[in-house]
Amino acid sequence: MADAIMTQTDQDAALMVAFQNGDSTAFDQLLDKYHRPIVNFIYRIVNNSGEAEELAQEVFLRVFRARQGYEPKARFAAWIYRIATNVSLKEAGRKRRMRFWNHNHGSEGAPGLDLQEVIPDPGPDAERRMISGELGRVIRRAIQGLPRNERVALVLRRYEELSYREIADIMECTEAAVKTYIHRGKLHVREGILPYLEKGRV
Amino acid sequence: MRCYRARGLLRRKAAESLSDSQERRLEEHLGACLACSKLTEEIERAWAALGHLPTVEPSADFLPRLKARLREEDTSSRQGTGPVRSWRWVAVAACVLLAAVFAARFETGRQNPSPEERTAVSARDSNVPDEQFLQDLEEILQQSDVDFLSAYDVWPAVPQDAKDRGTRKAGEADGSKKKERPS
Repeated sequence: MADAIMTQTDQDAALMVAFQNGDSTAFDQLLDKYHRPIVNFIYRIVNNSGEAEELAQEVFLRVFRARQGYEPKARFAAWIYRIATNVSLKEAGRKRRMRFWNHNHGSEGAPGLDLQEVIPDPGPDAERRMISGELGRVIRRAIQGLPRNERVALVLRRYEELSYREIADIMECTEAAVKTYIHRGKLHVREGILPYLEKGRV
Repeated sequence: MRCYRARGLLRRKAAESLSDSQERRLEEHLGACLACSKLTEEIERAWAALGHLPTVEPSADFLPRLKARLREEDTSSRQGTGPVRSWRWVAVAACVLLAAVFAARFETGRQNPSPEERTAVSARDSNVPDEQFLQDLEEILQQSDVDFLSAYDVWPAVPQDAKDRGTRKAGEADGSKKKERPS
């Protein structure tokens, strides 16, 4: 009953159910609608466009594989962002471990924790596609400088417009914790772009 | 109200856990404190500034590549030829094959037992010794260095004096224990 109500109110969940029942065009519609937001979301978490695309592909493969067990208990958007968050954080954790390993074992090219290492540059090709100006770069750095929980909560709220409840479900914490993460994230972003705020360029 | 308390209330306001009286006090402070009111304004502007982050356009081959991978995944799941599935089937097939080989060897062994096994089985299964059994037994005994039959027939009898010695020793041991026991 609840599933039926959910599919009536959430067209994307209805599309997923249609795909579950064998309608492959329904999945194509979901791909068309979500591939850009998912690539963007992952890019904001891992800060590398090539990796973001690879991980986005992994997200859609997981959605595809999970079709048989899919139950429209939550909004489809919340469900797919949950998968995307898990995939992104797993990758971010792997990179962090690699950095730790390289740092401790003195491998070549391990420069320590300078800003360029924490916030890797996406490269000239991706740069041309993505960055439209200095302010964009500053904001991107400010987001990348956030602790993991603050970054995920802030990005899900600010860019993906998920509700506090949905973000809490994704992050497996309380709504109050999500609000606190977002508030702290705002404070950190403010610090990061303070020169621009003071110059009145924002 | 001090500024650090106002900052704490701002954090609690973000978590929507302010009481009415706390909210009123915070508003009063923000109306009077330039630094705190500037901070709240900058936080709002920073939040608005996040909207200036440019979006990423996925590369042109993103969707074709993804759809190719999905087709491959679909074919694998239909035919059960995915890498994981095929490895599982190989493992299962190997186990079945091994079990079949062991079963066949076991069955062959049961059908063609060695002379020793045949002797043992016939002796166990039948109380009436047949000719073959007796011949095999004689053959085994002849091959052996130990004279089993003489050992069985000529069982050494215990001499009478040895029996007496055993009884006396037992009595002495019993008496010595009694002596050691305190009165």
